[in-house]
Amino acid sequence: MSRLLILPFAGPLLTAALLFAAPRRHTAHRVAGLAVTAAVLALAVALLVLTRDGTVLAERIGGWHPLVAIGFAADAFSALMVTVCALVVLACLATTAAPGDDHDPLFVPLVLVLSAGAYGAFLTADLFNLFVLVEVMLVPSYVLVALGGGTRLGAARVYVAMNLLASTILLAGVGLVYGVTGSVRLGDLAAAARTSPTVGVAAGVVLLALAVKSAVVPWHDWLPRTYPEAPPVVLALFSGLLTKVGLYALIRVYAVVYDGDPAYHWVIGTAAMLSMVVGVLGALGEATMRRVLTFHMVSQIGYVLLGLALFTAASLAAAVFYLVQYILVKTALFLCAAAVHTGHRTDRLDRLGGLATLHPMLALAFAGAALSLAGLPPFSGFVAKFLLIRAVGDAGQWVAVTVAVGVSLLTLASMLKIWGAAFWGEPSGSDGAVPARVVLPALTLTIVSLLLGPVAQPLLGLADTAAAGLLDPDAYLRAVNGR
Amino acid sequence: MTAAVAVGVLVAAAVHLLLQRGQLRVILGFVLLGHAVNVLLLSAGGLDRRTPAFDGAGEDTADPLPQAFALTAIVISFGITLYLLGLLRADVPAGDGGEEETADGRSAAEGGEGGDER
Amino acid sequence: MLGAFLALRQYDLKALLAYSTVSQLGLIVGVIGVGTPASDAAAILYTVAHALFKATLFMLVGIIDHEAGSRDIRELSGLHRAMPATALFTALAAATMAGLPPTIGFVGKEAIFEALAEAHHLRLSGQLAAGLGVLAAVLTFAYAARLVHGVFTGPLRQQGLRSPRRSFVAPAAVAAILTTALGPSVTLLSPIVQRAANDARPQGEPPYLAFWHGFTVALGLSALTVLLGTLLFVFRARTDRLLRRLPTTTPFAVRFEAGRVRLLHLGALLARPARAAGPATFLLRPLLAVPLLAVVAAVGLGPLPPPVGEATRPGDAVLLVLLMVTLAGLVTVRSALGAVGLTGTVGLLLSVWFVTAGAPDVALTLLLVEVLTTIVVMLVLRRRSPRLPPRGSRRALLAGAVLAGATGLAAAAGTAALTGRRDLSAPGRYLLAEAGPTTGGSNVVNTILVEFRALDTLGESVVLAVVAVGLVSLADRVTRTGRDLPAAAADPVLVFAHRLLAPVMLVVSGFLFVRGHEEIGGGFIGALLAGTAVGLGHLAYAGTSTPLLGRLRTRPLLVAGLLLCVGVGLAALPSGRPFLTLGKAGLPGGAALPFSTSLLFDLGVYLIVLGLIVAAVRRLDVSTRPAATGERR
Repeated sequence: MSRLLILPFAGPLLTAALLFAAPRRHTAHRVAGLAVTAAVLALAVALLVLTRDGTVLAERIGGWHPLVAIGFAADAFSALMVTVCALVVLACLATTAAPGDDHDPLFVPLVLVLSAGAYGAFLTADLFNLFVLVEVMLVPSYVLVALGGGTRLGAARVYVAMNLLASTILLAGVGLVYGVTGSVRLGDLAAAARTSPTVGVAAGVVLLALAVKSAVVPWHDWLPRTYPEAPPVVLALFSGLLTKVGLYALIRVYAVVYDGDPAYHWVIGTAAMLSMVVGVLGALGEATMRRVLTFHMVSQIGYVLLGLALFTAASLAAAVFYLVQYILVKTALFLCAAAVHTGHRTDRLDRLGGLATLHPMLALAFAGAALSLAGLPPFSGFVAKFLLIRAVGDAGQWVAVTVAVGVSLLTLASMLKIWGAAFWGEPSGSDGAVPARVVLPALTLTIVSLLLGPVAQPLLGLADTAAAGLLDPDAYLRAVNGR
Repeated sequence: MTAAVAVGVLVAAAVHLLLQRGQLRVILGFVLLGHAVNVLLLSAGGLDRRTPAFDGAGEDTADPLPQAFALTAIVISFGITLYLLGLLRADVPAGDGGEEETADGRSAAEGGEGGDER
Repeated sequence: MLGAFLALRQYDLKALLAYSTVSQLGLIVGVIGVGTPASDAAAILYTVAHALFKATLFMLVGIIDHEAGSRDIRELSGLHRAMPATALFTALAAATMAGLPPTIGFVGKEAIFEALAEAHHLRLSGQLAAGLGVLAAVLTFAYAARLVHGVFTGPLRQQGLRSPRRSFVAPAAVAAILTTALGPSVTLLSPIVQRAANDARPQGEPPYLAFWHGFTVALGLSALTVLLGTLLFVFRARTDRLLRRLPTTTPFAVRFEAGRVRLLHLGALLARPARAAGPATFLLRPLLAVPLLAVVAAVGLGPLPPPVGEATRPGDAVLLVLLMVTLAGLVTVRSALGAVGLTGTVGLLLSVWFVTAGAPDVALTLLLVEVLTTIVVMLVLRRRSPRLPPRGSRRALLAGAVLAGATGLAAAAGTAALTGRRDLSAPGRYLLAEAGPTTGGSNVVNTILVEFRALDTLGESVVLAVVAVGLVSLADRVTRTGRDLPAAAADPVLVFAHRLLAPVMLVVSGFLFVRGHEEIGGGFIGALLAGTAVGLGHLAYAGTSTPLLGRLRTRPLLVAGLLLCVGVGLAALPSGRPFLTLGKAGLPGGAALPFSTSLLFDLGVYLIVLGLIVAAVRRLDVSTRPAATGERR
């Protein structure tokens, strides 16, 4: 089975190469894209089943000596991330929203390359390879963000510049880690930063780069500047994958290299709370659906980081659960925004109204996901927030509890703002048609995320396993080191 | 010590260019930043050993791994530089000549305000 | 308490009742908070009582509103003359609310007082809680009296009022009678309440409820309530004035709205920096973090291990000085071409230095990359302003320079502190010893690229391929907007140079590619050289049909390269070997090939790099006409 760990990376890549060769065959593009992503999803589910008891699968690419081979490894956390991301990619490919985006002959192959990079980044156990795979993921995103041209080019320029800077810092950090330790393999770096302060500084550069990539406050402002300019479906994809890879890597590196060193908890905690507050306030101040939702990403990233900052079994499990449900919910919301954009050519709140009567199914998908995002029972968002707040409360961090509760209230307020302006009231402006096939993927994601509320147990079990693996990375290290 | 000074001046010049106006300056800034990281990578391998790493090397042979890293990094930043140049080129408006000023994106900013496509 | 105060101020009967509900729910929650079995029972009993009398009152007020056409205490008076039944039941329900005996309100309030007096979380908290409870009850008494008095006493001012139909009053009547009747017969309710209290708090024995407990503290408190409430009512003119004089609390909704608007403004303020146009604003904070991190590290780090060996060679200083001079020129130059030339010089200096640092492959790659970058920049800059845009204001420039200096210092310090302080790394030692024997290649750096870390190489090839298709897509978008620029004429000197050099470059390129495993070279270097020939040809023939290399097309090159790279990697899987197992044994069944599969992999890399350069040279040339680009996607 571990031999197949490479397939989530290689499979979509091979398919993308074939699709580049046949640029005009739209149907073939859609079918092949969906098929290969569904296959990745099936493989990821199989990985989940295998790793749910704490087993770690590992593979040395090329079969070289452990000292020099690039290692791939799947534990419950990475398997979970691959699964969720495959689900997101599937939903985005299935949404044939705004004409002009997915009709571009590059759309499907680029999405496949991007997803290949993301899956690879979840599975690799080598810092330099992480840098390369993140680039494999980012470069297609550079192209996707500029599809359609026009005003998007300005945003694309900011986006590329920002990510390029972060990537350069990441590479410098990896170089420094090699300079100090003589290795870039996570297997050699276990708790290295805890025992050696110089490794702590070098890996700190890596963490800085990953924080910029994850749009953690104070390095968040590029996200709301650039994301809303991307084509609507592309935006949904980005929200599900890109910053989440940064977040995943941040969590993994902190868990392995720093061994969750408590000396840094307050730094991460402060950044987490700042992200939560700044993100939600920014969202309140925005005037288009996609901008509001983009600012929310910053806020949600803060929640996940809060779980990381405490570094207890409960808080890590809550963070993992939160990450998974939030990726699903957020993608569903962005797909709703994309559907609105398809029908009405705008997502400005002051130009929309009465969508609930025009598109009841769309309204249902949006309302479910929005309430889940705000953390209302019995939705999955409630379970996630409840777990997190309980974990934070157990640790006695009452300030953080207050912030978390307050921010979820404000989240609800901003969701109500969208609901009130766009879905409620009299239909205004054009009454564009939103085909069912555009709404269906969003609705499906919403339903999946809603089911995770009442039926949270399976995911809770996986999140617990993932948290245990992060808290005590022994099994991960043993597998990666080939022992 | 050479490497540290070289990295320092390269980074300083790069940052100086990045923070100024004009897309071309930004692109050149990133090129310099890429150079700085490459020097850093080689330095991370240890510059006290400087014999090229061919088979059968001795005590003074350089660490080949960071060199491979640097090669990969050079090629990736080459690719991204080309893409940045592509974005610069795509920016040429219908007229000709000195539009470097608008290149910094005044018009893009206004487009960004609206946030919806026309 | 607040609810009771506000209720006392109301003229509208419905508003009065609504505020009173707030007050009474607060009372109930407060009692639950005491957390004894007695308090649970009291809360349950009072909930029942409250449901009865409040529902009754709302119904009756509805009837009054319906019949008299008003709910304003000031407008209503003497209604008992017109509708005696309604008046009676209202009085009963109000008495229950006020907690007068013999109603169930009295029993409930007694139970509450008793429970509150038991609160002993803190010293005096029992007395305090009971005091507050009494105060609330006093206020309740006052507004209940006010309700009854205001509506029913006095002369009947409104004409033509009749008593409402019986069926209209009946439901309210039943409830009102119940409130009174259940007081003395509270023993009927007692088992139910006890059961409920038991359910809520299994441990503990709830008290038996009775109408008459004898002369207890609670009875005293009830008497006090009635007394004070009556006083408050008698002096209602004065209390009214007093209440008027209190700061008029803006209705909460208005304040909430104001807060919400303020919050939206704050949000918009926070979101504003995210609107800036150019990248500089966004790059600022990550850059600032670098010196900050360095300062923290400098404070926190203890003594460092000493540097191993001598990392500086005599020639280094010369190169360093040249580098500094070039960079100084670069940051001050105003000519675009000058800046590009100086950047190329920096690359050149560094490749020279890389040769002396024992990294000839890196040096050669960097050199070729610099040449190609320069060619492409030249193509992009044709027809653009030859000058760089003017610098910003002096202040911005100074701030930028300070940040640049700080970041540079931090980077230099980081490099000095964290590199060159350990011996040859374990993987490095392994590779130097084992790369040759295991792979059959003598160029260790190349064996890393195509064998040990072939996955990295595959990744960077994919990056290049995606850049290539991205460039094509971008260029198409521009040409689609319908601009048609005149093509430049072919340059005779360059054409001659191209005729002479291109075949040589191609031969050398092939040679470098094949021998990459043993000597300097490999897929990247070979393809970069061939690409340089393509670029030269393009410059020479100004984008028109170039002989020899003009037929190369981006897409087939990319597709073939990608399929080759990934396919060779996957070929190992069927025979049970890991992905990208390269070398002679890399094929399924161990088929014998005259060369290693890593050469095939490298060929894939070669094709992709060449494809990228073809795309870059053709698509980035501003003067290229759409027709001359030939290929469509």
